[in-house]
Amino acid sequence: MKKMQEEKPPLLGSWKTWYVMVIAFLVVLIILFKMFTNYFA
Amino acid sequence: MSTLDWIVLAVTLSTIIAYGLYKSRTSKNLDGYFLSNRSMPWYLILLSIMGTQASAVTFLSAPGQAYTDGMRFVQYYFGLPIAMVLLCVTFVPLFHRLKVYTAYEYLENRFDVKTRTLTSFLFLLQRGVSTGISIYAPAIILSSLLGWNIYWTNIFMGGLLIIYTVSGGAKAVAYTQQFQMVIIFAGMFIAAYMVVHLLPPGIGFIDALKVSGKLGKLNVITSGVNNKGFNWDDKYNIWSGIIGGFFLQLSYFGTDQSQVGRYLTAKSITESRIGLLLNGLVKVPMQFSILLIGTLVFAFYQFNQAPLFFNQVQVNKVSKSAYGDSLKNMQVKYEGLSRQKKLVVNKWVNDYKSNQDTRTSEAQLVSINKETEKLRDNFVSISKKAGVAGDTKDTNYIFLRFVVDYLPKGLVGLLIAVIFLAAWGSIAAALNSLASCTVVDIHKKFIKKDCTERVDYSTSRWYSFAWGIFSIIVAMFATNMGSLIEAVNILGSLFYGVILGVFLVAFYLKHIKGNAVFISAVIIEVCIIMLFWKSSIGFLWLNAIGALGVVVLALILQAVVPARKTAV
Repeated sequence: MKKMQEEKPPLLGSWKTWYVMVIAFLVVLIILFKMFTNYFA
Repeated sequence: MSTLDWIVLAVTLSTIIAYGLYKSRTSKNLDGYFLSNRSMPWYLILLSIMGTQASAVTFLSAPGQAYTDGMRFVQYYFGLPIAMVLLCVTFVPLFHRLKVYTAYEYLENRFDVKTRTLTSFLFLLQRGVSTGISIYAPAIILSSLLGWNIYWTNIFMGGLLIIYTVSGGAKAVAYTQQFQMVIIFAGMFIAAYMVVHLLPPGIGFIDALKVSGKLGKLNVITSGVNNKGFNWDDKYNIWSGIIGGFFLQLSYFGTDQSQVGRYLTAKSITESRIGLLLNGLVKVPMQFSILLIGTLVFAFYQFNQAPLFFNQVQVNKVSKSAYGDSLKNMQVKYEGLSRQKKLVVNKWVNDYKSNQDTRTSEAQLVSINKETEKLRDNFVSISKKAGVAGDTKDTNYIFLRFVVDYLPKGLVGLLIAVIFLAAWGSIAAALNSLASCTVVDIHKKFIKKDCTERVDYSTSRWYSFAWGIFSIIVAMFATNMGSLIEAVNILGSLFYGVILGVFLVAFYLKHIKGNAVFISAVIIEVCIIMLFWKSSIGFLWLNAIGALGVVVLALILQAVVPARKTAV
């Protein structure tokens, strides 16, 4: 039971989903930042 | 500062101290003092780890960094979200399962006492020194603004925070950080609003960003590539941020006791993880916002004359030296350029708003800014020639100088309180972690093993106090370090990589024994220090080199040295 709690990630179904989520988050941020830089330059 | 500012400052700081003392009641043993009896919910963990990482240095230097170098510093945090997930998968369950007080306890289980002691010692060395810098950072504000003696200011600054840190341990640290973060966010939001509000009539937020953007300050994403290829000396670019930043953040949150000590106070492993994962998601936008304030201040100073050098104390010293006349000439030229700049920037805004060709005014604006930058550089040169002691970089003074010169009464006090609170949040966590490492990894290991819970508790309080005094002493020697935010990060990068390397070997290379990893860590640490000393490589790369260096060398040593010798 304790082992299961250790392996189970919070909020999302699996750690793989978390990795995909944060990488996608980072990619979106980088694109937005790039657009921000270009727009105001 | 006006009386109203003093009242706001005094009330805010006294409230925090009183609240810290009120929350000091905890069980009188190591579990209560260092881990809050593992009772904290996720939102306190989140605010606590954010408060620990975001020191006064963050709020002082970051806007100044954006003013001088643009927003590319935000890339430094790009490795953080991925590092948080990896941390939650590997480090967090292990620390919770073993019920450790410090991260380094695990290394004795996995390797041996000397590896645990080495990593603990490296932590104590770098954290002890960087805590001193964290005391010095807000102290320079007071000394510069109020003309107070810097040494007495350091003592005043460090002394107040020791009161509740020694008294309440991890619990007081976490609760005060929660309160501090709310005031800090409110203060920074008001500061951002005021910068825009103080712009000339007809100039809004977007116009200010346009001005900063045209002058290259909104360079959020940079590739680090120049005409000679990839520039390894470039400190902040997308690659050093993602790769170097990933290793730095992983080692900071996974192996630095000042952070490990925060999430070990969570009531469950899930609460720790939620706090860390949310930190990974909010940190980059938060840092972006703080840097954006710096670019707004930069835009503000296009319409208003900026000081030649933001540290007025340094200007006064040079004016009294043999180079006083040179300074006067420089200031006359600078004032002329500032007047010219004001005319050109207004013309540029008018041209841009009426959809006319802005190329001429834009080129003029860029050219004037280059000339003013040259004059600022010249000032630094003559202050060095004059042999004037003190900080020759004014990055840390920019934001606060703006606050003091332009914000209304009351808000100045609030913003200075924000800097104090930010400093206290990270220093308090650092003192608590320095004490926990000294007690658990050194005192109870080598000096006095068996003590009653009450004696352990009392010893912990004394060590917290002693580290507070040590940090104040370090703060006395923290001048001439340039941008303090860089100084703290460089110091971390010298040691974090190696410590992370030891942990990576522990987690993923089960066949490697204590001697191999210990020798590797010592050799690579020396190499990292030499590399930093003898080369100009961007400091973020030191984290990746240190971590991978330990892993590779430990693999080689384990393979070549006979098993009998490396076995523990």
